[in-house]
Amino acid sequence: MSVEMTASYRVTRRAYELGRLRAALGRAPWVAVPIAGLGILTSGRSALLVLPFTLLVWVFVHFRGDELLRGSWYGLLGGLVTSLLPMSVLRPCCDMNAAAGASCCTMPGACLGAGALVGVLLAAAVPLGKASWWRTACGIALGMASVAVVKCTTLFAGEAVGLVGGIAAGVAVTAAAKALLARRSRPEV
Amino acid sequence: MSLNEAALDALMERLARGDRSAFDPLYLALRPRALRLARAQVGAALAADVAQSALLRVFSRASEFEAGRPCLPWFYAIVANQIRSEKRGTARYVLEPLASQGVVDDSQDAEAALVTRELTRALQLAVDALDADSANALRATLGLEPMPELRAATFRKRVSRAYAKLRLIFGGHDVG
Repeated sequence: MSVEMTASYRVTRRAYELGRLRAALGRAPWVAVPIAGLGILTSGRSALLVLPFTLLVWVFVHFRGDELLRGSWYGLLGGLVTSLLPMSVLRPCCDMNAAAGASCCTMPGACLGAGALVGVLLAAAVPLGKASWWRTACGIALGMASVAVVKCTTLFAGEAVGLVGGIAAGVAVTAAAKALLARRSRPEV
Repeated sequence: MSLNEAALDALMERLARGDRSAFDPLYLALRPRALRLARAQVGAALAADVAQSALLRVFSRASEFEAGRPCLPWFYAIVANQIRSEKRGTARYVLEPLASQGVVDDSQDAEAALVTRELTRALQLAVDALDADSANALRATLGLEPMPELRAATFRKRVSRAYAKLRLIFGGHDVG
């Protein structure tokens, strides 16, 4: 009889998952709240709007744990870099005296490029592991997004999507390329 | 399923990190242990229920397991505490004569002997995980080693600190 078939197994497995969720709910605020604090310092009180998203991301990665969580810690570092990007990089068309709402300042492409660059650099630097590189990569993207989204509160929607999308795309492409190269360089058994 | 201590430690460490692939082998390795201890403590009739509730507690707290610590002392502390609290809480268990004598006296019974051996080993692992001073103080208290040349008050303090550290290894508040 397979172990999965028994009622005892199912109940015990559910207890494990609930235990992880409980632990994640306890641990996530220790990361999300400082991120929100940093966001308030760098982007103002509007950063609080995205606190639920940041909290949710960290509850999820703590709940899943393992490579996803490991990747998220790296992503957090990358996200901190993103949050320090000056607005002159994200909105290069704006001069210092331009009005904040001027349409000339909507530059999703610049945000996408900046996000992708940070994503590529980070994914290239992080050791991804052998078997589950995509989990580490997802973790990096989630960890970065959880911080970068704070920066997005000062951006327009298109720029915000560009920044987060750029990060995700940069991490995904670089991680996939690294995994492919690693597989090719592995000797045939 | 028989796994050695190092394998159990490694699996529990992985499960605590969130590696779900460690769940099945751990479940298969720990369930018989919980059942054996429950049978020895509350009798065969109630063992399955008690072992199950103990297992739920162990696995729901798996995320709290600290890497580098031995798994068995932590596991047995939770199971034993759960068995104790089930006994206390419901007061509906009728202890079997053999079980009421405690597992240490049941050397005739093969299963009880196995439980005793496992518990003794778990305690030994926990003591081994302590620093040398604490471990020696506990061993001296148990008469396994000669008393160190210390003032009585110093020795008492060392034993007290060793017990505190031992409680942490056994899972902190789980040890009653």
